[in-house]
Amino acid sequence: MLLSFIRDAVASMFRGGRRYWLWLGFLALVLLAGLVAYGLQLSQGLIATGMSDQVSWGFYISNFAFLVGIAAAAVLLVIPAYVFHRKDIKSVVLIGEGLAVAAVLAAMLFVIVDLGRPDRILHMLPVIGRFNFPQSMLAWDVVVLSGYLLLNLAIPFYVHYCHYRQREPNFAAYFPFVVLAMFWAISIHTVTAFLFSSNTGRPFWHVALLGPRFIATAFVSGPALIIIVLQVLGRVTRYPIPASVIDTLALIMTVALQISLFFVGVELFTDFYNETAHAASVRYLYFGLDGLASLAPWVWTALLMNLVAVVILTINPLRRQLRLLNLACLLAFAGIWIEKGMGFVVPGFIPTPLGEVFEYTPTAVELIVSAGIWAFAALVFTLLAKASIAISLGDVSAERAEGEGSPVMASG
Amino acid sequence: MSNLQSETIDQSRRRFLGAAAGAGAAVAGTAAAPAWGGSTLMDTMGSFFQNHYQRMSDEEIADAIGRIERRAKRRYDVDIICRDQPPQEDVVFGYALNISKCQGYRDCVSACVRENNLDRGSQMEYIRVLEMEEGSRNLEHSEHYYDPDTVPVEGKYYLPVQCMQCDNPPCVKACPVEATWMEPDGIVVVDYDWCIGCRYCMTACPYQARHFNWREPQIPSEDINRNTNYLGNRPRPRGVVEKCHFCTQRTREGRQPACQEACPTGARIFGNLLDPSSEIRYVLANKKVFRLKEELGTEPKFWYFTD
Amino acid sequence: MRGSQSERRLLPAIALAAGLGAALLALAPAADLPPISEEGHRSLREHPPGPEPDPGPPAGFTGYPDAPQVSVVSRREALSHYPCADCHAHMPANPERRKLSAPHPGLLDHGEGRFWCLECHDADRRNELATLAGDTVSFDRADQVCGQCHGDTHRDWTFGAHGKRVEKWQGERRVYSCAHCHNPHDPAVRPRAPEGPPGIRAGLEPMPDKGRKHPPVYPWQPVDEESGHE
Repeated sequence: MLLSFIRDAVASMFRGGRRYWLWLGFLALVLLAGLVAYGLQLSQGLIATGMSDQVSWGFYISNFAFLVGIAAAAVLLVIPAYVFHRKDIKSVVLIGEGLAVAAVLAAMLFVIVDLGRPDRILHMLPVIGRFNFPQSMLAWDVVVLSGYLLLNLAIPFYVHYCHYRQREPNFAAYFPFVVLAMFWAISIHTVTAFLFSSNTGRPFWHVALLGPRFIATAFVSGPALIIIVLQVLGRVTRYPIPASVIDTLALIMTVALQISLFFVGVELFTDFYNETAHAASVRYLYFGLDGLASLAPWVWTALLMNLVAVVILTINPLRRQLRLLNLACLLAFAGIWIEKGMGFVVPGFIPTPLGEVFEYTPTAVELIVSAGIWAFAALVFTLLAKASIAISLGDVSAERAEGEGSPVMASG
Repeated sequence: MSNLQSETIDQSRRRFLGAAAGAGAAVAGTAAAPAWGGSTLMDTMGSFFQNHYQRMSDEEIADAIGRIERRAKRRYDVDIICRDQPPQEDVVFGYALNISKCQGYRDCVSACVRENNLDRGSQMEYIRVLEMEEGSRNLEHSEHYYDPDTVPVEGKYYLPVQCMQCDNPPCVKACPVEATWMEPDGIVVVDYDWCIGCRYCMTACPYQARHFNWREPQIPSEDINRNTNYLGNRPRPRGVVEKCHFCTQRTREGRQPACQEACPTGARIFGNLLDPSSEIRYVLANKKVFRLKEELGTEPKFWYFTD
Repeated sequence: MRGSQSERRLLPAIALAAGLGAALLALAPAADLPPISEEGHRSLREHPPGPEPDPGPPAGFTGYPDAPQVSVVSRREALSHYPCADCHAHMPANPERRKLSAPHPGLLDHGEGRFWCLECHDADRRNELATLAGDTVSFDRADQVCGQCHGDTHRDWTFGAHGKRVEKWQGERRVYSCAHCHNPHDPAVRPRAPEGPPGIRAGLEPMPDKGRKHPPVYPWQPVDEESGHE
């Protein structure tokens, strides 16, 4: 039964119309380009990137920090679905968990491509390797991300398996894991924030507000992505997406964006009212140092995007218009990606602890590898969502498998 | 003309003679074939399965040293001697640097590059000398790339920065695989064969003291320092982090580190912090010293002082 | 880049040679001095110092309490115009200040005009130095002479906070003598070219126009619209 479930689920992933295959093909192509670029990086070493001793983390770790936030945001569907028993949200919670799986995998890949010696990754394993737990925050991050990945694989697996066998999942059996996953979601992003804020030599990151800021921005970018993705799924499949889900997510996103903009203001006030040497990175980010300001246009754009988004979201009549809501989602997603990615990771290194201003620009290799990883995440999510919807709609089930009837997929 | 400069000439002559001897040895040695397979394949497998330095038996370390020496032969065509020099008992190293003496010559930097087999032509330098504005100790006002015709420049003073060998090293805490640790003699070392190259230690270091091999290190064969130590200046692979290790290959034998030896001003004082009669203890007791970014709680074992 | 550094490294050597030559030329032979025989230029390596015993530390100075044992790197062997007594044994001591010719150093820029040779050199035993109190001191213990004025520095040197320990940090303390690093006749340290600036990671470009570090603003400095702090 379990084997036929897996077989049927995997089979359903690769059944679809022309547009579905075009989409898969496109993602595979980008992924392939990323693999080629990564091959180049492997053969040359990290000299193929734009990183230096001064700015030793760049585009990869920026995307990592951002994607952990996306993964954590799945909890925003989990809590109302399982704790407040919102029927509408429960119908899409599995899709949210699929998104979390894709995001965690991509985040992990972004760390792996950043390694100078990926051949030694086994050194991280306990016993075979030497795992510096609980000392190293990076070790913590490995633990929480792996755990989160397992939780988000295990819970949907169980629920889908029950649906496949057309039984009601035993709520009491998996609820403890749901509770664990809720706290775990917050922990992955907090630990990722601690990864940065624990560095005493980097005053830009060494602030207690970093954890809350990470959570707040995650609760903007995550729902923004989920709102868009759910609408797309509603169009290309016959899976019903309740409008109330979008409304709830939009509301959460509104509050989160208001809070995260408030946090930005708090930081700016503290840094600039009486400007200390610790504000040098913030000054570099927004205004440049020594005439070097390559990030400034980006961060101002991000701020503008977030401000426009928060205006749309805050005014009820505007938010209720789906088109404007989607615009706000796109703006906020891009805004947070800049602010929390390059706009957060790179200024931590500028100026260096010895006061040197040395800028960083990602190379084509970095951009293509990153695009490949994003394509991989999209591919993973597409396949998971495809199977999930097929099972939820009853197109794939044990009964049908026995009845030999080939399920008809309505997707295009 | 001061004797100070004639001494520098002496040193450069010695340097030249040393290099010439090295080149001679390189020519005399038979060219090793960098073929794939045979011992190369065995060494690659051996490196892949090599254990953490602190968990290896004596035989395993001997095997690893054999691989290191063969790799150096293949890569640079030089017969290096790699030893596994243990720390001395009752020794914790410390450094004191007299910033009223330092003139910003950067002789320490180039001596360090040669002594420790650092990648040439990239940015691998363990010591960075900062040109500071008189009247200020704000590092953000420092100039790293100063290159006037002569130093010292009026209105400036010089602050060399290298690994502080912190007693509470944030880099060691950061490493996810324990590839870096503090030895009993207080030196923070790296197992270059264990490091995964995540560079979290570089992020954690408040002194910019850690450096990454962005490419395969490139050193002219005749410039290789053949006297090497396992946790020290042996040739490093690409993709790993390295840092100042107080010249373990010298200091664990009782010798002065290369930067101290190269400094023509006598600004650098190195010694055993546990020996109450050592020079460094005299400096700590009798001079007004300071440590860089002491407020971060890193407890550097590198002090600065003035006359 | 490294090539230009090694050239720069050679510069002091060229400068030194030129400087020595100029100094020798500048020393016009003084009329009232006897000609110096070839004998006076004997190097120590070929002609080791005579049987004169090391005079040891002067009687007046008893040393610092708790001072460590140091052995000073010998300087006698490095002196090219030595031994002085070969000539001076046949000449009466002349305390009058005057211009001296080679092999004497052409310059005495130490003490702002307060010194003459015999402040430091022993008038009777020319191969030795002397303290102000008249005690004889070996060239190898020049610190005993220098330390009479430079007391704090001498103390630091004795305990290791000044000067340079040679070769080993451990075991016997071998240190350079004062005159290894400071020319006693011209102690000022001249500026010289530094080694080259730090490298940039291979494949990356240096940041444009690096001279723009904002200097701190001091009240005595005029505020410059362009380079001052905003």
